[in-house]
Amino acid sequence: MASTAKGSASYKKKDGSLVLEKDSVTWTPANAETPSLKIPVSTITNLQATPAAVAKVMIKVFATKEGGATEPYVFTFTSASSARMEADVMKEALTAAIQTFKTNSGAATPASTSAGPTSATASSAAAAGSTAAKLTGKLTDWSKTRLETDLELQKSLLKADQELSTTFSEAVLSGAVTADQFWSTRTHLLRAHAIEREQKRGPYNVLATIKPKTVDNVVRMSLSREAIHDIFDQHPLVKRVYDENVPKLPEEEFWSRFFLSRLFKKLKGDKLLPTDNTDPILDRYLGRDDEENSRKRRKIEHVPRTMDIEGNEQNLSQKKGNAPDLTMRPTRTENVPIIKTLNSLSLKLVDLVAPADSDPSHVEDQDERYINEQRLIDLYGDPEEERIILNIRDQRQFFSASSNADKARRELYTNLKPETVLQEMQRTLGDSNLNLLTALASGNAGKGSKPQLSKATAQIVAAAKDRREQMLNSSGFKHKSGGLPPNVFNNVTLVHATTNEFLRHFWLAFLSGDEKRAGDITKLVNSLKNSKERIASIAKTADDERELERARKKKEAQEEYKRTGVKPKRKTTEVGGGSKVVEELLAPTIVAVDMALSKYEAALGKAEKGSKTAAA
Amino acid sequence: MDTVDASAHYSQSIDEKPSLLVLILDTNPYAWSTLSPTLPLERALASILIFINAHLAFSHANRVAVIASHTKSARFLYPVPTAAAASATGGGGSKEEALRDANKYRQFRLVEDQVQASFAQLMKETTVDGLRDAKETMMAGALGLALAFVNRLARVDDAAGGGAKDGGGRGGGGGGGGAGAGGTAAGEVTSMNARILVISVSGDLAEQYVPVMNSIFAAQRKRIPIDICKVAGETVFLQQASDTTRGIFMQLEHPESLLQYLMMCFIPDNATRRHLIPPTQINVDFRAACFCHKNVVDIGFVCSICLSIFCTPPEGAICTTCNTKLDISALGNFGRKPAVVLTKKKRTKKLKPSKATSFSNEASATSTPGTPAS
Repeated sequence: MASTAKGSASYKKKDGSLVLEKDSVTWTPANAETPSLKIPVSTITNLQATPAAVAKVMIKVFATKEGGATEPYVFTFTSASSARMEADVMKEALTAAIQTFKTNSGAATPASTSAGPTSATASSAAAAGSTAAKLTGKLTDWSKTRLETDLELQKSLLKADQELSTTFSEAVLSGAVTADQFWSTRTHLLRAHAIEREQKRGPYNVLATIKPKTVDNVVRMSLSREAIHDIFDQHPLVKRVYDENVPKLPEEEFWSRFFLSRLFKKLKGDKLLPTDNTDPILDRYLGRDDEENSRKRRKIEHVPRTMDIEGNEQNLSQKKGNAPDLTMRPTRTENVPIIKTLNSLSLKLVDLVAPADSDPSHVEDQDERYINEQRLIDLYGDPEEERIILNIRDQRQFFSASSNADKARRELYTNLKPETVLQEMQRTLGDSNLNLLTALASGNAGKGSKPQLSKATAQIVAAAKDRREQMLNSSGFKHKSGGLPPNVFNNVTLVHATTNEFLRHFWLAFLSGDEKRAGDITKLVNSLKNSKERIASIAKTADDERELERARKKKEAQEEYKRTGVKPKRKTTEVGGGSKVVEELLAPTIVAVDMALSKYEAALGKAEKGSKTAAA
Repeated sequence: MDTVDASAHYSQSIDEKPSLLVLILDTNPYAWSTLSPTLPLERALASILIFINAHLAFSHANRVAVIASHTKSARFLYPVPTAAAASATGGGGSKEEALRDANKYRQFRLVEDQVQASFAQLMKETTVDGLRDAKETMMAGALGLALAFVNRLARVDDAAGGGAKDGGGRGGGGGGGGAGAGGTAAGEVTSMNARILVISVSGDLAEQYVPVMNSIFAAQRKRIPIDICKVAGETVFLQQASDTTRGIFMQLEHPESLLQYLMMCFIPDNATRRHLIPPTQINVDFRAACFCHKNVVDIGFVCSICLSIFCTPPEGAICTTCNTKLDISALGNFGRKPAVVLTKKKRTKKLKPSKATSFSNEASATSTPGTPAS
């Protein structure tokens, strides 16, 4: 059994070594072979340690003996140099062991509430464990019910999405829609947001993000703890420089010198210029390769035979008198091209991230993989297709079913007799060919063909204009507000959003056929009626605003005229907006509301009639 | 509609490919008869022929095909298989005349004569009994023919670019297509810009919903715009056709001026259209027809496996198309009878339209509330 923590400690004033194994703590006297004391982790109920400030380092383990009595064991750590460290390691390992035991057994041994630094750590560890468990639980649970009941998630989504939050406050806080209804139609948004929140940010190029700011002619930089940590992670060389110099050099000075140094520029991938500052300490590290340091991190344990070129060393062409190979060697030039620096940086960043998508328990056989890659797949037969078979029945069967369409077809052109129709056609086409000119003038086209032509042209031009308007709008060439002032336009969008919300819930409730929702429907109908009123009031405000704007423009134009004597063009006094635009923008909404209301009225009328007849 | 960007006008290179116009003419005799007070057939035909001439006049490599969408069948009016052409024009002997007519561009003459002759032939072959129970138009068939023709021409031309021998052989075998357009064009053309123009005069196509939709999607895939010139009648699916394929839809308010419409809206070819704002009418009716009763529906139920559309959940919750057993328990009472007041009595109410709902659990929650159009 492998020991997880070890320390030299005395027990009852006898020297020995304390070892934590998988499920028990053993203490072996210094001159003995076998442990004289063994405390199973399962019996440990409490753990205490002397605070860090006290010179004497002791750990007290409370364990229940058979019979229920609790017996304390006190171990004093005796190592001269590292007693404190050993004790800490032991304490942590013990806490962890107890924790695992507790969670594994599931029998909740209530942690004794006695004060003491260790029990505090134990409980915090327990708390951390439980939150971790909660997190993992979260990751998998995207179910509708959970999302719809997660208030915190909903709050954070509302915070993130301004538009949604306005709709929410309009429809839910001051409207008839309940929060549950509101979210029930937006599960997809919640789910997306939950997933987004679960995602962690990966490592990024720290050095590039640190930008000096000039305040009062002094260059300042703000550097967070995390940033320093990331720098050390990404550039082991900086950590080395830091470790070797910082006690001698104040930390603040170190960083300020570092960011001005050539080393910083080099690591960042900038070009070194002869005019750059020199730094006696940091420049010493210029030649050392950061790359080499980091390469060690990703050792390749095993080079697949298929790509191992070590054997080439045996076949060195230099031995046969060729000039040494100068290409394909790592160069140590100072000004490495930026692309190379970026590449190596990206490599490092990728190396820093533990791959999330590979199964760590599955170790791939590299050789096998490369051999597989080299197989000539073309030579194998086609793999069997795994498709889901869709059984389509003969469509004619159900198309021939007698239906409304059939009936409509039969009724079509009933007033026309096929004989006359056919004769007419045959006569028209006749045997001889048409003269295009005379044919064009046939019918009643002779009289008033010109107005017809221009009417047709007008229709086409209008369509093209409409289309153009739309195209320009959609590509953002024109203001979408149609000349409405921003506050009115905001109101328009708001009323549109909330009305849609009401409509959506109205139809859901209306079509659900669920009598329990009848109350909801009544509320929603009232909201819809209110919406119409609101639209009317917005239209009115728009008109008022327009009048104001027009008056202002007119005044301006008059002043301009007085000043310059140039008559203002009509266009400058024209003002867009007004109720017409509002009504245009909201026309579909109004139609939708009217539709909903009329359907409701109809259903209501029918229901009342039904109940009346039933009563009679 | 989404990808419109005015700046694109400047970046695209001009492509000089010749264009192929496939014109589908709805030849439903009833519809034309109803139209005759405003737009008599000969006038319409003359307008169409002038339009075709205009198209051909743009480039000697431009080509045209005319397909009649008749009551029971769809067939080519131009070009026609050589044997049929001989029999159709043989009687009048106009071919000789056409070649000698000094006042008209020969190509125009050929097309005009051929179209009229085959149209007359088509009407001769139509019997009164045949007309009696077939009053709609075979738009699906015509669209299929048009797509096949476009595909064949493009294929022939592709082959001509690569291996001349094969292309030539197939071009010859293709019948009147190559011959009609003149010997010079067939070899030079590498590929064509094709478009389909439907001149529609009759009503709904709910019957042919599935085949029409399939043709539309094929055209969309091949990037062939389908333009709709709607002279009369109401169709839902042709609107969708032009919208899906980015063609032009035009409902004529003044059918008398058909020529004006044709010339102003439909003459630009695909390459030119990129530089123009199309005068298409944009209020597209996106409704579908249900598979069970061929009704155009506002609210429908969609099979989650084969996407068949139903106006009511199919009987026994088994999809009639793919035999899948569907779980409609999630629907509950959806769409049955709206309960507006709390009462214990049973009421019956017809189906309420609002929006398409699939059988999956959350579709009703995620689809946006539409405005019922009816």
